[in-house]
Amino acid sequence: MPRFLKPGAMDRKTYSDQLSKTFDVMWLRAKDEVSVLAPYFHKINISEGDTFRIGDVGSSLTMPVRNEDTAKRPYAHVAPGFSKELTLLPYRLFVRVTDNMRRMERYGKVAGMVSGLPNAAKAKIEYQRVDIFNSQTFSGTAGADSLALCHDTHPHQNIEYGTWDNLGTGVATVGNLHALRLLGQKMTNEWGRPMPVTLKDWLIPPDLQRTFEEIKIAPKDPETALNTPNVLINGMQYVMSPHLTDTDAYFGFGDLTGEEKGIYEVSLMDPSVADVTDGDPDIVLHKRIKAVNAFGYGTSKNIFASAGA
Amino acid sequence: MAITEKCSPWLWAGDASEMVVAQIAGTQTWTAPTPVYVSTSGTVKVCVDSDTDAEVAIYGFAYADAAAPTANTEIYVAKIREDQLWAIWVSNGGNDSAAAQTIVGDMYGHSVETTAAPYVGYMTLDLALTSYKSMYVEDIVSNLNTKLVASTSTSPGAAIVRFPASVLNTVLA
Repeated sequence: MPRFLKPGAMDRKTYSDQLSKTFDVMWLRAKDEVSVLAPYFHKINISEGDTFRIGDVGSSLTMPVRNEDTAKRPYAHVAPGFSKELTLLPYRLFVRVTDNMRRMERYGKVAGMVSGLPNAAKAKIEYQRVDIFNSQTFSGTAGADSLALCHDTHPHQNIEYGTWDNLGTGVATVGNLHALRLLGQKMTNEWGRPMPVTLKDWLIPPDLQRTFEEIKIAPKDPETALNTPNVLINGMQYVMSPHLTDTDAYFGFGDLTGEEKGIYEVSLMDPSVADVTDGDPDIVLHKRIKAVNAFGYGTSKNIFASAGA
Repeated sequence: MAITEKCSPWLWAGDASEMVVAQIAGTQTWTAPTPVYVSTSGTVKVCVDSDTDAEVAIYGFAYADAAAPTANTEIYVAKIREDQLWAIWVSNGGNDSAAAQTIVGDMYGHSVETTAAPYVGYMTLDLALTSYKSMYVEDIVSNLNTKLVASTSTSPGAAIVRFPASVLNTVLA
C-alpha cells in the first residue's frame, strides 16, 4: 500500500520512485474515464448569467368544434408550460510540479502526471449527469412540476386533462420492460390526446447486463414456458453505466429530441485548461481546469424508469 | 483512533507546503506521512494525541519516503502554512465519525494512530478532544465535494481545517 503525502505540489519526495534508477519500466496510468450519459442530455451553451431558466409553451390546440358560419366563433388557447431554474456553479482544480521534480525524474513521466485535468473534469461531468438518475429520478421535487423525474402522476400543462406517467415498477423482467415500453406508447399530450413515444434504448447498471443480454438474444420469452415469441423489446440496445449506484433500477429512453428530452446540461464554460503564470520559476507545469455548468431537468416524457424493486 | 479511509490529511486549498529539512529526534516510532512538531532540542518529534496542553503542536507532515529513521537523521517535512486549508478525516474517541455541519466554526484536537499497523502515522480530527485544540474547522468536504464524501452522515466524514499560528509555532519538549 503506497503511503504518500499530498502537500499541494508534485515534488521529488512524494514521487521518489520517479527519481530512482532501479526501474526498467515506469508506465503511466492514463485510461480514459467512462462517459456514456451525454446523449441523453440536451446540451445548451450560454454566454452570460449565473442562473438558467427554461420554460415551454404549447402549440397544440383543442379540436375544432361543430360551428356554422353565422354562429359565434369558438376560440382556442394553447396551454402555458412549466419553468425550471438551474443555478450555474463553477468548478476548478489545479496541479503544479516543482522544478526539482521535473529535473530529477528519470522516466519522463512528469508531463503525463499532470495531464489528467481534462479527464478529471470529464469524470466530474459524468457524476453530475448521473446524479439525476441516482438521486432525482424516483424521489425528490426537483422537476419543473415539483415532482421527481419519473412519477406516476405528472400533471399535464393543461391541468384539466389529468396526469401522465413515466414510472414503471418491478425488477427488470420481460413483462416489466414491456410495461415500460407501453407507458411510452400510451403517452398523452396536454389535451390528453395520444403522443406516443417509442423507446429506443435502455440505460442499466452493470449488474443487469446479463438480464438484458439474455432478453436481447432470446427468440422466445425467456421468462415463460409458453413459447411466446420475444418481440418488440428484444431489438432494443442497452447502454451500461458503471456510475449508476442502484443495482436494480433501469431506465428507458424514447425518441424525443432537443429540449423535449427534458434533462439539460447547461454550460457557461466547458472544461478548459489554462497555465497559471504567477511568477515562481521553481513551480512548473502549473495548470488549472475550470468549468461553469448546471445539470437538471424540467419534465421529461422521454425517460421511463423503474426502481427495480 | 480509526481511519478506515487510510489517508493522512491532504492539502485542500492554498499555496503548496514548504519542503523543509529537519532532523528527527531519537526513539521515535512512526510511519510517514505523520504529523511532527519541533522539540526544544531542535529536532522534530512525532505528534501524539492532543490529550494534554503539552501535546498541542504541529509543524508539518513528514514525507513518506523515509521509513522510521534513527535519531538525528535528516528527514523532509511538508511544513504547514497558516493560510492553508487541509482536509482531514474525522474520528471520535477512537471510532470513525461523520463530519456534521455543526462542527464548522469549532476547534478540535487531533489523534495520531500509533499501534494499528495499516494506520500508524495517520492523523484525524478527534471530536472527543475538545479541551486541547489544534485545528479550526472551516468547512466540511461534503459541502463542496459530494463525490468524495457523500453527506454529513457518512462515516468517516472529512473536515476542512486550518491550523492556527499558535499551534504551528509551538515548541514542545
